[in-house]
Amino acid sequence: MGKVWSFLFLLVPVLGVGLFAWAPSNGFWLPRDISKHGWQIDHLFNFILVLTGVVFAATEGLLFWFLWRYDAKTNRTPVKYMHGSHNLEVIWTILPAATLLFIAIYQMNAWADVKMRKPKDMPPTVEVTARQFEWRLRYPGPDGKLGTPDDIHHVNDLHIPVDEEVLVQLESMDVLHDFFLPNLRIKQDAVPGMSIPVWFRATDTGTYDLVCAELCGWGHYKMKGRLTIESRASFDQWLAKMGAEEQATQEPAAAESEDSQ
Amino acid sequence: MTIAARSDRRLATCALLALGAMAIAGGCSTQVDPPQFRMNMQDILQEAVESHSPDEFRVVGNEEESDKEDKLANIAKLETLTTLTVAAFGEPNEPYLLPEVRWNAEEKKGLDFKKITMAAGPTGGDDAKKQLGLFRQHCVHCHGVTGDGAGPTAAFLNPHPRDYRRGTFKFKSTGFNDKPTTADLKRTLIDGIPGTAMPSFALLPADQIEALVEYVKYLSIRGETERNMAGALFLQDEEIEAARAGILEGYLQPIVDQWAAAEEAVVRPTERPETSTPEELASSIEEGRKLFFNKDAQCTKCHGPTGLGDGNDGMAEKLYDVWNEKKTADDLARWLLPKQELRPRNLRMGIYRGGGRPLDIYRRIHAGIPGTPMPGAGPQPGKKETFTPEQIWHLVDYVRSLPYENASEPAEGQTHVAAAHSLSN
Amino acid sequence: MAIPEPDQELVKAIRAGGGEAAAGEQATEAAPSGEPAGWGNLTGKFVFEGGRPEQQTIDASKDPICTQHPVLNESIVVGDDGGLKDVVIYLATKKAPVNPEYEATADAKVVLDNKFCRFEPHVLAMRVSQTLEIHNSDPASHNSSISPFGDANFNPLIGAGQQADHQFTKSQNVPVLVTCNIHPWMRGYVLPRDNPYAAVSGDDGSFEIKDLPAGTWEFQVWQEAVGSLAAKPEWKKGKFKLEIKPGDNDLGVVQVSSSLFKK
Repeated sequence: MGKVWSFLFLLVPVLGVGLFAWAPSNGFWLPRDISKHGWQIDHLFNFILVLTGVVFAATEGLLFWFLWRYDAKTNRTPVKYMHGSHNLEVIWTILPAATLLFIAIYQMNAWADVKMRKPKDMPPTVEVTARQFEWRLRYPGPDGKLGTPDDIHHVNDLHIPVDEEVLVQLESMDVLHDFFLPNLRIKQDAVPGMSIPVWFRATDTGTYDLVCAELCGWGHYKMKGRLTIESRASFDQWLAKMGAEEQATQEPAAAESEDSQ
Repeated sequence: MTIAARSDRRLATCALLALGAMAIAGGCSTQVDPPQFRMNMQDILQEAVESHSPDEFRVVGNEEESDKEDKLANIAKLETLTTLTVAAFGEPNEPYLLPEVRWNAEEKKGLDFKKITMAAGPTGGDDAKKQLGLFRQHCVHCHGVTGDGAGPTAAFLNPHPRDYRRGTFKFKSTGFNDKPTTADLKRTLIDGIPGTAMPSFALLPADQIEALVEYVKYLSIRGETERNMAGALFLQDEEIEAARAGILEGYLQPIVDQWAAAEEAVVRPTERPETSTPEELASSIEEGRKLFFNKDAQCTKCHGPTGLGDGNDGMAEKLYDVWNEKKTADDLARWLLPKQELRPRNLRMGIYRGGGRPLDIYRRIHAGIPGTPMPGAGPQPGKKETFTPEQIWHLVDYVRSLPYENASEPAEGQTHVAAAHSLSN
Repeated sequence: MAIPEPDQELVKAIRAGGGEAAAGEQATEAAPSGEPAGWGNLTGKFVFEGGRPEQQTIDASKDPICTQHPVLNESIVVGDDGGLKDVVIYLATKKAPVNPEYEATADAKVVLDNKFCRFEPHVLAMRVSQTLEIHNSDPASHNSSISPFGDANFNPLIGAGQQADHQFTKSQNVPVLVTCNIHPWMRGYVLPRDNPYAAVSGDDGSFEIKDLPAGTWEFQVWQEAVGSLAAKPEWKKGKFKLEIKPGDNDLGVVQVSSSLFKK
């Protein structure tokens, strides 16, 4: 058998690379990107994937070749001890370090865009407070200020206007959570005690996922919200409706006529 | 190291394969017993403890000869109780409803059996790919299979999940002693209960929410029927034959009627006084503040002079809700869950469990919160109103302004504590 | 506790019969046969044995209106001559003929008063047909919370000088607790029964139940601190059988040992 076992090791890079080549055209790839700046994230992802993929294929190929070439049954040359090659050690330390340094610098702009270049003088569109196991939302009411009696409260059902810069103030009521909008390439830990600004701009309407991406307890798996992106007019209408409901002093007309079944 | 001999390696391979096969076979699911409803002896035991006779209902452990009859009688009563509840309601995986209790469209009474089968049973789908076992999927881990609020995750929560079996619900639109309407239960599911572990199920499709509401009603009706029958058999020494003879008339039908009557018992407040201008709102809040502190309302006695919910702090007698008040602070096995103190609501948080609309807070003050020490100030059968609707609206405005008012810098240069003393003496 | 298996035959029978058991299983309560031979009164006196326990004072400073009179713990109240107050003795037998004299007060109003931040009377017995009127004679509001088993709950806020009426619909086997949550030390007990044969012992420990039908009946005795009061060893769970003869029947002085009140 001997040498043939080494083909098992060859399967690893072959199947690995093959899977990644097959996946995108068969629906197993990144979620649809509908954000203005999401392309930066995707670009970095692909770049690093290709880079590490090449290195991966090379090292795995090398591993296979050594296993094949130096199989104990067929290779009778006795092993000779060597003291190591200083040059080789230098090369395979410097090269990866330089590559990593390159990646670190290459991604700085993307990081700054998402985490540091907060839009100036912009009032928050919504305050999202993560809580075990839901997303509590607070929109400023007609007075445009958060923290006043006319604020609009809601749960899990996040609406934002399309084609506009949106600023979310992210807080947590209890433990660490993570505000993850897959389709907007937004991911930010909600840290108790901090109010963290998150900004983005959606380019298309529709309903998408809001999920929690930091283990927060037994209900973490089902801590889902729904993100609805709609036109500004539609968003204002929805907000006004929610605001009116929240100030209701009488049973809403729709509920009155609702049948009990 | 020498290369292992061929036979050794073969042995090793066979052993590994055998181990793997055993692991897979063992891990595959064998027949699991279907879940069963937990029998409600908790309330009977609580009543027994309250009347200082907890040993009366012990089925085992009574060694005296004279108590052997009691023991056998108790066993017979337990069997009757199980038989009657299974007859009328079925099992968790096979629900059943007597025909008289099923939905009657003319009288608008009863339960929709189709919705209940949708929510009952193990999770999965039926032939039409419709979701089944909704209660098991979404609710059981807190509320328990029996709807007794003692599921596996319940012990970690404060407050404990609702025990439906008393037929008492806290947050509803009806009067103090009425059942909640279907719309009330739907609201609870859709909005969740802020400040508790009850999440919002707004993202479920509407038909699933309706099925869950129906199943909650089913569990509540089942629980209350079982509770009343157990009370009759054990606390009232009802004859077993008499209980068997009249389960529908004596126990089940009155409860179903109450649920139907709830739809008509919604509290619809009168028109709220004008508060559209800031001055009107401020004066309403001022009126509400005076009412909050005066001795007709006694709000500060529980909610505290600053509304922090600390009014009863320091008293030897603590406050409890009706699900906890008769438990003794011991013996977890007897009570399923430990005794939990109930703190009056901290009104400065802006978190209202029953909803924060002015309408919701009006209903809390008007009808009180059943099962808790919060009394009702509005008119009830047998009682005139303590406050007029207008006064209640002023209180609502004051309560809703509390989260935005600085507790340490009260209005008009007067501390709240001083205000409390001056107004209540 | 293992759940007993349901009787599947009976389950089928009940489901087929729409909630009622198969014919032949109906049981009729043994109705009392005819007019009783006469009517008798039952008197007696409960005496606390073993020294007079001190009533602890309760800190009622939470509400200034409650500090005018001392508020005492009333779970064991013993009079000057050792009489044990607020012991409830009532007919436990389910069906008994009721003397027509009681017709007049069948729908009377029974008053429970919130006064000086305590309930007056502390324990009362009444009939289900009567109406419980809860008064508030204090200058501030009280709430009177009642949760009888299997019956409607009641928790109204009662303003100063106002009242709230409550109607019980079911007889209770054990007195029902009435509390005020605003003044959480306030505890009172109300026992609604189907028949009028119930009495609460007074300051001197004595009681009287009038116009009981002649015959042998079972009585139940209850006291707040201990529950079923087995004052005599033969009174299992506080119950005893007694033959009532026409005229006066005296239970005599019943010594209640302090050892029953284990704390």
